[in-house]
Amino acid sequence: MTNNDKDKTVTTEETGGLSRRSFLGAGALAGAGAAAVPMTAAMFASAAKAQAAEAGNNKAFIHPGDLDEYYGFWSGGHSGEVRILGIPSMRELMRIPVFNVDSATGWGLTNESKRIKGDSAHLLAGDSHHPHMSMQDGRYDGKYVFINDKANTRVARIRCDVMKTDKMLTVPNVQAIHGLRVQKVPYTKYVICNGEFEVPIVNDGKASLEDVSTYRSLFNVIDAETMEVAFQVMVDGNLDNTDADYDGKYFASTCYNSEMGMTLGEMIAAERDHVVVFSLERCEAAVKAGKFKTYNGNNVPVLDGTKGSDLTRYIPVPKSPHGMNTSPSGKYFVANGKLSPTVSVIAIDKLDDLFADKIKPRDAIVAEPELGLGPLHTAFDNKGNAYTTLFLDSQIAKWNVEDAIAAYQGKKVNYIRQKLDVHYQPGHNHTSAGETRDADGKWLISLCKFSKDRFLPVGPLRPENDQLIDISGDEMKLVHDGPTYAEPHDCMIVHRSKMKPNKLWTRDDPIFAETVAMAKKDGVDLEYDNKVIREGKKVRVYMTSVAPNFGLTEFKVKLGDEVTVIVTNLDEVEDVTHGFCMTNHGVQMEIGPKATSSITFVANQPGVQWYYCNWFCHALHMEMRGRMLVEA
Amino acid sequence: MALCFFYSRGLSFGFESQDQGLSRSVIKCVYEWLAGMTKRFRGFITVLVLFWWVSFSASAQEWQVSPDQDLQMVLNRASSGDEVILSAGRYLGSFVIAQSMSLKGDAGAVIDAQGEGHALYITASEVTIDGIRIVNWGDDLTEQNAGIYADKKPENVIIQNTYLEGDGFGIWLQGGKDCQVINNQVVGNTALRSADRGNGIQLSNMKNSLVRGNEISKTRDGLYVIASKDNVLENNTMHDLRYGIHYMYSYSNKILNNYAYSTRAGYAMMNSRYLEIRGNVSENTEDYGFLLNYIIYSEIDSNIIKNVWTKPENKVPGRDGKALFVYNSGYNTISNNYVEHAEIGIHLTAGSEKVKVFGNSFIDNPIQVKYVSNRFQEWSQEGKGNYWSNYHGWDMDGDGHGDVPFEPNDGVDKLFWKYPEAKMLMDSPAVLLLRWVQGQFPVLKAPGVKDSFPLMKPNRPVAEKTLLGGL
Repeated sequence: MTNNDKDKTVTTEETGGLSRRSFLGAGALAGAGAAAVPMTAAMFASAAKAQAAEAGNNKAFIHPGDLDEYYGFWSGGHSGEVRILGIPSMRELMRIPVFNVDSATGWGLTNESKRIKGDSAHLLAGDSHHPHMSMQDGRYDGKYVFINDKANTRVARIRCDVMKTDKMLTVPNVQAIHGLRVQKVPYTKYVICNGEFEVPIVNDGKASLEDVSTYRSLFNVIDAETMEVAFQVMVDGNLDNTDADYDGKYFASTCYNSEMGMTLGEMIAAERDHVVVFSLERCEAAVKAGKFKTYNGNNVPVLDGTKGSDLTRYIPVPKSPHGMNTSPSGKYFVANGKLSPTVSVIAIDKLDDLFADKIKPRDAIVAEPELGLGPLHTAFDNKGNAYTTLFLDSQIAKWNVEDAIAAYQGKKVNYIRQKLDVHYQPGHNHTSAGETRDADGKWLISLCKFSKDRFLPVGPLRPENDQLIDISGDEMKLVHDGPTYAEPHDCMIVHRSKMKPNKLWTRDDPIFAETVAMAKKDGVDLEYDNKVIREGKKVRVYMTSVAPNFGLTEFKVKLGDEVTVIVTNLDEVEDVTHGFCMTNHGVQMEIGPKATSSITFVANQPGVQWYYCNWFCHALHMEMRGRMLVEA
Repeated sequence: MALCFFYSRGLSFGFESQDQGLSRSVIKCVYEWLAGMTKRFRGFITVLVLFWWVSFSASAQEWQVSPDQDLQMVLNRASSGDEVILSAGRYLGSFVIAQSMSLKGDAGAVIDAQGEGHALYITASEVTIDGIRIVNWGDDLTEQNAGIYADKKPENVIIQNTYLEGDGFGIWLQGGKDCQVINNQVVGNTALRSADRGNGIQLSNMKNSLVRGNEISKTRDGLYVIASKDNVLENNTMHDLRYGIHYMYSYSNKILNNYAYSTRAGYAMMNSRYLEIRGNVSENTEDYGFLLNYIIYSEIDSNIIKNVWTKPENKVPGRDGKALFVYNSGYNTISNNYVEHAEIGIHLTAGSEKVKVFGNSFIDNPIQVKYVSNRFQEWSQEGKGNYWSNYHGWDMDGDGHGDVPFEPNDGVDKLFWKYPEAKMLMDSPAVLLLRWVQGQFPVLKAPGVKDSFPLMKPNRPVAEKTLLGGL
């Protein structure tokens, strides 16, 4: 500050100062008037204008016992999981293991989870990026959340009545599923996702291995109910992020490697890459007409959507675009520039003409506002404003879409409304219900890739920082820093009124239907019987659990037997989950109220092996245990 | 053979080096004829022919071309080391230089690409372009239309003394090394939106090249440098454009004595190591004098940054002119820079630590330092701090630095960037009282920057460029 530092005294003593702290708060500023400030007229005008906007007044503090207004679904990055947060409190409510192995729930260990993981049951890691909920007419329907696994080229589905993963699919012919969204309108018939890494279309390690001209990325269209690939579309360049329109007609994906470069320098050489737009109607017709090929020994139809195809159009946009976001008005696709300080606004109502070849690809661009350095993702409110993360500036730029369009047409308009520092380096952002027609302009989440000095240091590995921003007023206001473990890439926020999760499992749940069928074949009634079925070296141990007892307090097997323990939790009490843990065997699992879970292991240690309940259930939880007697 | 001969005669008509051109066409025909012969015999003949050819090429030829001739034909026929000189007049169209040569222009020689494609496309190495006016190349950024375009691993390409005015890129060099771009002038087209123009000079994946003494204006960015190392960028002037130097992922370059004015950012330097950024000037810019983002192991020394503020019509909360924005950039030396009249003198954040900051002068910046961190930093080296125009200490012992430390980033400063409206109160009794209170009760003192040896006099680096308004 200029000319206002009086006698600076440096002391180190600590005193209390709560009252002074509040004195230094906003209250001290009331009645700010003109003062002798050494500024130019221009700077003075700038500063004066900067104070005009007012911040909103959302309440971010949720008192103990009160409930949040929104559910937030967070991806867990390379932790492989999905998490549920309460918004705005940012309290973590639940973790849903998906591509990871989870010690607490036995996900990846139980027979039920292995069945759901299917051909990838042997994979113990994953990288989940983009959680997106199924929709009806452009609004969340609370039914499913879909999530990609970049690490192992998978897509999984979470059933929101039980908040568990119920389907998993390894997508063939591609490598590294990245961007993922859902069809919004008329309903989520399809999940769409991008194969990011370029591989030979016949990836057999033979002639094509180093022949880059055979490398391709495919756009993948998955049936949301059956979770099978309906068809794939071969494109030029690679594929990054994607989104769908609000008409049920078009999908759009960004491409950052139109060069098909194999090294960083090659990938960032071109001035422009592109957005590729897919016509759903034309793709479906092509599949129906049999205009596809199959590769690599599977029967997934692969359509040719490379340049010149009727199925796609390529819209050039500045270098290395990343995020793809549809405005909730349904009018625009926004491609975020990354290496260009601009975002490209594509008018969806021009796409019919583009596909009819009445206009040129760049004519579909109606604005290309310059927002700042490193724009990655854009979220929207319900007032026509957009919020773009600027990775390099480490800011969120709030801008008005229609003003940006006016500026593109040559009008003198300042389309930028505000810039807000975030900490640090924001990636994805998301507004409350902002990817749906229900966008309400209340909250914005900025998923920051680094926390640096924002929290107590915890060693070289730091948490990420998920920041909550109140956008209900004219001015964005940062209200909360949320440390998170590796590494939320994306999130989505749904109003609680859309969600109807179950309190208890129902006995006919398909997740354990196969286990129920096995019991039936063994003549076991899971809700009454506690029985041991022997079939040679295979032993099936059926037991119930009612706090504080397992239905069997002991069972006997022979050393080397393959033991399957099937536990059915008969507690009909909300929140009484049991666990089953066989000590010294690495065996444990969750059994939710009214659920059946099973796990198989080899009894490879002789003698007494205690099993116990490890989800706290009862005052006599410690006593809830039994013996496996292993005869040698 | 006979047909071939006749054809080449026809083509060579009208050129001064007719005889040589003719001979070379004959060689080409001989080669084609050889293609039909057995391998063994062909090898023998090839040696003979090569010998003949080399004896012909021993001395470089000069081709004087006039606008009524077919320039492309000359360029096709000239050979290694030849010099093609354009007489005054307009050469219409796009031209390809596919072999090493020198292309020079007499005064008044203009290549006019007529609004399409590249004006000059260099696909060879060892090419010199000198003293030509090149205008009106294409505006298709997707096709990377440029005045001079060289993307086939150009080596020893020299472009000098040209004047380039057009829509797309001025000069685009990609994937090569040992090139020189010297004393050219590049002018963009302001009728296009900023984002729809090309950059002045683009170095993409280039090594060991020199860009010196160029003047670039009205393009999108001035110098655009990406994935390029061991280059020298010096004495260039960039003005009336978006970023003077837009620079990413390029290690070990020297950026010396450049001058950027009337920009959104003078120098946007990102994701790079081992840079020497010395003696540059940034003046009249809206957002950043120097943006240093993930720049490490680098020296930022003796630069001048003056007048950085967002124009009133563009002003929104949170958009502030920052002379130095040091972000996630540690292990650097920031010394002897002169920072005057920016909304924020230096904004240092995101773990930009282990930075040596000394000898700088921060003069009349409403916010001298915006330091966002929870950790303490000492900004002096071996008893030498920085000059702060708002330092009100004294130097009783006359050793050139103040006797009491300076903390530019005390709690009141933090208050100001948290509540910008508080600036209105700057010299008000309330703030003076707060500062006094803070001094008495340091609980308010936020961790931040301390300069234990503040300089008593500003330290003005010698900039080679003359500032618009003087220092």
